[in-house]
Amino acid sequence: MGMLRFLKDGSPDNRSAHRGPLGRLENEVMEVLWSRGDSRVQDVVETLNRRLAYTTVMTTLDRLFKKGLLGRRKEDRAFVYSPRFTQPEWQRRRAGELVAGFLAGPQPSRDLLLSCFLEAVGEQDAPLLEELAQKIRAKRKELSRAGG
Amino acid sequence: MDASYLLRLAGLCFASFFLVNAFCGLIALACIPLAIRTAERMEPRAAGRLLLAVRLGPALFGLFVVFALCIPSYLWFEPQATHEDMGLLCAGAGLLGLLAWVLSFTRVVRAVAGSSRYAGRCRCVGRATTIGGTGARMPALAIEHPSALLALCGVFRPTLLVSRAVLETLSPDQMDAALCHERAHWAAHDNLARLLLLLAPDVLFLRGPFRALEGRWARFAEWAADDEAAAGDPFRALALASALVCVAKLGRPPVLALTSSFTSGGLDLEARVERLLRVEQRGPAAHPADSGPRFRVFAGVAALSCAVLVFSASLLPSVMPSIYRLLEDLVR
Repeated sequence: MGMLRFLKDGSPDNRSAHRGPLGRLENEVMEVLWSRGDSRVQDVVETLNRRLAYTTVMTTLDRLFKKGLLGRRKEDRAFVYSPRFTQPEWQRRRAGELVAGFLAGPQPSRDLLLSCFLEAVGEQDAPLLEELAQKIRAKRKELSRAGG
Repeated sequence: MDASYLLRLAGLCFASFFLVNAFCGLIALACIPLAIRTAERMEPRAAGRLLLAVRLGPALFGLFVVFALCIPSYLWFEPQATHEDMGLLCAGAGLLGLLAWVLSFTRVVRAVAGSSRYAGRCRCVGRATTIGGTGARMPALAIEHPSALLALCGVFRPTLLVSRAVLETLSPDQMDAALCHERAHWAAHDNLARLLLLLAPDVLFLRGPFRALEGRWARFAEWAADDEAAAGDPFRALALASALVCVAKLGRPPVLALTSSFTSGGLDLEARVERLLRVEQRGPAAHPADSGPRFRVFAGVAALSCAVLVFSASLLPSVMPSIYRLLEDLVR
């Protein structure tokens, strides 16, 4: 099935998309492609914020294609690259993989992840707890007044 | 009795259970919105029982059909010497029924193991003590830990786990109110209800729709324990509300399946506190002593009626043969 898809659109299987973190240049190139859409190597070279050799960018694009993050087609003897995931899709995947990695690990790493989540949620609860405490104080005063 | 005779019986039992559970479960699914609306107009304890009945009803009725009708009629009428192949429908439904039970038992085993492991660890590091003042005293396991732990752990012999941080933070009034809350969970066998909810097989492997119902049940169980601890006294309600906030400020306790945690992991905390602050407006809450025996009498009468009904039905000459014919159709 993966081979059929590869033959059809000339790109690696979607499922085999690289799961590791991206390097700095890879990230910059992906940002360009997410903002510009379909681009040639020359377009990316011109859009990047720093001056880089054409071959460096070409190698990076080729690496991203092999990692499954980009698709490509030939137009006028040059490759046109396009991102295979939108930026939110990619971020969601990375977050999911991070969590799955922790959950697949030993019990201490799972506990660590969950306690970090709970801590983060707990921090958001602080204003609510303070508000509830104020309501309780007000109620106590009201009851004290009514009682005596 | 040879193996194929027993295998057919087992297949029939699982298939009958699966079909009855699926049929009744779909009816229960359709009734969930109505049940929740009705429950919201009832006292929390009664509301919890209603939702529990809706969730467990299909499985209980399935078991009733299997043990009261299928097995007796099969043993009564099926000749042991016959060799009959099981049809595709029966085999498929039987396998699905078996799978549903395997999944349920897996859930229960994991939950029991998790709770036991946690309680075991607490026993290793904790010391047995009795906590509470004049209002409520309870045996507990005090744990030297700075967490927000105040929970009733275990099903048949629940242990009250309390951390040093909670013991140091709560005033005597707050601790009394918190202990009354936990005692109400104990008296209502809420952890046993949690176990039954885990054990109830899914309807057509759909767990999602019943999750909402189980969540509502957990909410009503907490509300009922709050009401019973407050006992209609605004000062006790206030002590309980402030205990809830104090414990919640310490952080969140570990979430375990068969545990009644005082703050329920912080879920629904706002609603619980708001309810407690309105105690004087709502008037005295129903005390468990008022509703408990009534419910037990009702449950006893219902169980006795079912037993009498089944016994009378089995005496009628046409009932068991009709059930047997139905089973025969199912097997083919």
